[in-house]
Amino acid sequence: MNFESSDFDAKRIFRVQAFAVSGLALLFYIFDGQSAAQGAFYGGAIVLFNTWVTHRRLKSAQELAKIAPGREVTALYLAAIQRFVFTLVFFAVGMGWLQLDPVPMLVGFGVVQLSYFVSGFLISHKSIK
Amino acid sequence: MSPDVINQMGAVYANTVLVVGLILAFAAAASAIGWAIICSQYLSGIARQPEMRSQLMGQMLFTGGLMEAFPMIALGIAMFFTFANPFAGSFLAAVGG
Repeated sequence: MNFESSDFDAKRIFRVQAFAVSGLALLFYIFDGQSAAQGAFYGGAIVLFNTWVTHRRLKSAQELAKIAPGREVTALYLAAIQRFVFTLVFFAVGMGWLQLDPVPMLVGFGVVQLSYFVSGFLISHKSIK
Repeated sequence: MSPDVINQMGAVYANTVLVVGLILAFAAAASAIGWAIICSQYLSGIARQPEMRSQLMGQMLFTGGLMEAFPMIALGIAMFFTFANPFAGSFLAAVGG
């Protein structure tokens, strides 16, 4: 894989995930109705939020690396903890407070999370070319 | 609902809570171990070739994202058991509650 610009790759990952969220929500809307589509969309949106947080943390880590080399790992590790906590909170809000359909939410979350692999394949495929 | 059924229902919830705790613990541990391996390899990589830092960082984050996919899905399943316990419904259906 070629990571000349992490900004470009983050956009590409975000685009693939956004496409997966939209497609999945549409499928759920066609086959299961609106409440299932809302659940699937919410589950996918959690992953999109995590991708955005990662991208922002990467930018700040790159700035930190210029000032204090080696310290950027701490920032990235904190970002991992942050994503872990945010995921728990968002699921709790979605299932507990908003009472969204849990199974489509899990499916949406899982599929969009795994679309990371698809974007990875696309990036590596592009770098080979 | 008879006291016996209430007791069994309590056991279902107690076991679910135990399983949720285990899932969260294993997901957190797996994520932490994965990140530790990825970060240590990243640091050893920039120690060998400091000029590769920016490329390695991108690679590290991407690999971290791949690694984190499964612990995150495990978190989602744990939350599903917490807020929409499927076993309680199955139990009630089985006892005809």
